[in-house]
Amino acid sequence: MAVAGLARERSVRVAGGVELHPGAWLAWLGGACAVAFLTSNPLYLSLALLAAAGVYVLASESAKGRMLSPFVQLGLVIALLYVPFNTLTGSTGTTVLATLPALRFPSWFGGVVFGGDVTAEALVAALGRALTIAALVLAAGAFNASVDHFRLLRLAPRGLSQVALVLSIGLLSVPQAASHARAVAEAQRLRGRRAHGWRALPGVLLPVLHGALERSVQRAESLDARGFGGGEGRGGVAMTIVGVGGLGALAWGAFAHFYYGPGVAPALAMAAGAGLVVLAVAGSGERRQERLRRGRWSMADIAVVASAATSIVLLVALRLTGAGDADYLAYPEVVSPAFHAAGALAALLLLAPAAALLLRPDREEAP
Amino acid sequence: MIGVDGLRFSYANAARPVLEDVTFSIGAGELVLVAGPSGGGKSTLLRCLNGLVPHFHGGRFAGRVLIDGRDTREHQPRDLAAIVGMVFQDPESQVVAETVEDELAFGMENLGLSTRTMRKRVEEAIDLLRIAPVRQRRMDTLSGGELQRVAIAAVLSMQPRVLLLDEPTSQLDPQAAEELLTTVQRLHDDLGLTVLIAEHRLERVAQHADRVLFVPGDGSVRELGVREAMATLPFAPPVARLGKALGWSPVPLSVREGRRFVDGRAWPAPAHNGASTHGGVALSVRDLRVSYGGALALRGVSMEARRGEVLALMGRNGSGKTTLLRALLGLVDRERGEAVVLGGDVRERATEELARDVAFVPQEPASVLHKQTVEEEIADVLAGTGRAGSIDEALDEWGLQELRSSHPADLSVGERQRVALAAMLAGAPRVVLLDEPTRGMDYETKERLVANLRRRCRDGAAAIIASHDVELAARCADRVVLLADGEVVVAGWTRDVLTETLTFSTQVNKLLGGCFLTPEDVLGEARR
Repeated sequence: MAVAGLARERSVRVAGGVELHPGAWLAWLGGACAVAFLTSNPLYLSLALLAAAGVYVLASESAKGRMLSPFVQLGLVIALLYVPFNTLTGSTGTTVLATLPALRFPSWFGGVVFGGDVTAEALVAALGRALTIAALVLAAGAFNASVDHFRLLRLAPRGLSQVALVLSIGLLSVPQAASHARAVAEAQRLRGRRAHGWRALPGVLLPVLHGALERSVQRAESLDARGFGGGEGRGGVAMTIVGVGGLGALAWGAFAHFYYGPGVAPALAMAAGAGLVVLAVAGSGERRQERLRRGRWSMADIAVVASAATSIVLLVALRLTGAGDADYLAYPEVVSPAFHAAGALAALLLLAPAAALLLRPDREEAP
Repeated sequence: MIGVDGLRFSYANAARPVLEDVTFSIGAGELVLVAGPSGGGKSTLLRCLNGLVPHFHGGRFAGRVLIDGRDTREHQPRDLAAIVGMVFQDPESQVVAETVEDELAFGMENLGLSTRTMRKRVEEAIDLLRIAPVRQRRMDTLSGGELQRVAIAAVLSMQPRVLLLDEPTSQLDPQAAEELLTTVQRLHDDLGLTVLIAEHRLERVAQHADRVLFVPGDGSVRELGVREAMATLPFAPPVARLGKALGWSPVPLSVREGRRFVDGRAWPAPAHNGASTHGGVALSVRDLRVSYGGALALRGVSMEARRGEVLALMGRNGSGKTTLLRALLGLVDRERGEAVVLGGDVRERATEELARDVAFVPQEPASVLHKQTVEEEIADVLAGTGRAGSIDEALDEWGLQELRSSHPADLSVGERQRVALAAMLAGAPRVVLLDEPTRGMDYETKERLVANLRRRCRDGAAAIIASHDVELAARCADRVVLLADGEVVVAGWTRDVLTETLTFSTQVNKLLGGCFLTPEDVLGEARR
């Protein structure tokens, strides 16, 4: 019954198929990131990578997915390069596999030692980090290819909705700028200028930036002419500024927390940022806007969110109990990681959106 | 509905006002054609009517504009959005959402309408613009014509009482433009909307318009009746020009109206020109096969262009016109066959080297303009290609002397098109390739283009114009090659090709039949 009801409701939106709510995709991305960060066990990470890859392959069948594939490929190459680089620069560990001539960079260049003892510990640690990076790249790729950014950002609460809209329009202009860049490079050649190599870059870059700027002015004009931002009180602008400030503080705090390590300043920044965001959301929006689509949550959406939540719960539980080596360390001496079914389940639950993607109707007709 | 009184506006950094002492009024339900040369202030005038001027574009503003009783100085554009809807020139840069339905709902969401109302109005707008087949599509998969229809639907769903269209067809191919204009006219008839449309394709709009606002470019705006406008303005459609010259009254606005003057009269046949002597072969393709985006774009095309001739490459969208031009520049790889330009195979020279002898102006003028001033654009092409030529000559040719130190980005779309032509054709290229040059082009620039092409060919250059514009081909092409589905269907003298078809024929040919193509044929003026 539930399935029939689901199919009927969905058929109103998209003829005969399942399309996940942007919120569900957001939850899935959160789950994938949490899995990648919560465990350093190569076994679970490998499974998570496979799950993310599976979802990515299904998601990238769309036109939008194909467009994103260069970015994903670049991410994967970076993940792969991470392994030799980190193995050669990290020489702690007890199991020495080989000894290479050491190349020491001066201290003002970071004092990195390149070569020297190549240890199994460094290799395993590097592989673990590469798995994490690759899984994150694929998850982000799948998310970007599947989610409708416009709808996602319009889920933002009032007070942030203006920022969200501007952000979504910014995302929209990226492919336009890419095609404009191709046209400009071609025009350079038609003008008798070479369009290859670094020296040609300014000649292409400036017109492309100029074009992007111009289109954004035109778009702002069109937004104005279509009533965007109309009917709001003065509070709207002030609250938007408060909201943006809050988001900025939150982002800086999170960055500082991970980059410099936990401290008082990042914690304060994050707390203040969160406070400002709450203020912005609460302080604006006497007049609620309705949407064309309420974006009802289907059973499939709930299933995806639930599986993402389960993944996180399972891994947190593993870390707290210490079972199954969720927090695996290659140092000081490499040992084979322990395996627990709960960890594997947490990773494989990330496959949840694959079912919805398989049922998705092919809406990307050739233009 | 619209009252403009003593309007005067100049942009912040401009020396002279764009609009000066403009006064007119427009009643509810009128369809008004806004005509005039590009860069003359048509866009500015339309922007005054929904408050974008002075609220979005700063400058000195004086006078009063009343829209449905509301003064634009006191109301922001976003507050007028419920009364006035506007569709812009460039279909791509007005897109907000990722899917068609979200795009249609955007304006209504801003108005704060209920979901129920929005759903109903989305359906209405989809029916009115006949975009049901694309309603679930992503915006980036739509063609230009579809985008403009969605843009109009998105504005109509807000149920405005005035619709402002700023050259909505200038970026569209003729079929899409035709459909769009038909749609606009139907909306006007069915819904009683007040419509103001800036448009160069007069032959399509003139017969439906109630009035003409003529914006000559000196700051004034003149109100004219349609027939009065067609009788006095230089840029009337061919049938109106013919009627005017022969003293027909009233001046016919369409081929249909012209028929009653024609019946039973005999016309002296024009001299059949086609025997003009041309030089040697400038470029040729043999059995050319090119794939583009996974599909076969050209399937074995053979043709040639001689020195001193203008060749029109015609055919519908996707028939391979652009691909053929690009193949001649080595911008696309061929699978089979040969392409020879000025005696050498295209593959032997890099595109940037070929550019010395071959000038190509692509469809999108904005993408070829890279410099800070108009003058620099021309100088850069001359330096890059190594062609000899003077900047002043190029500026004079295209009437750009006054704009020589302007930044291309500050110019109107039509002016930029002129700059692109002046720059890319600077010097004396031996081969000229133009892709859809008259899209959105005003009358005056078309005249310049025709004169320019004729002069270059007299000097021994070869020109190929890929175009849908039958009137242009009739006026300046020696031969026509008709492409369909990547193959040559017909090739021959312009007069033979364009008089044997039903769709690819000019207004004058539709009216008189026989071998008449242009008003000049009938009036006995020498064609070249």
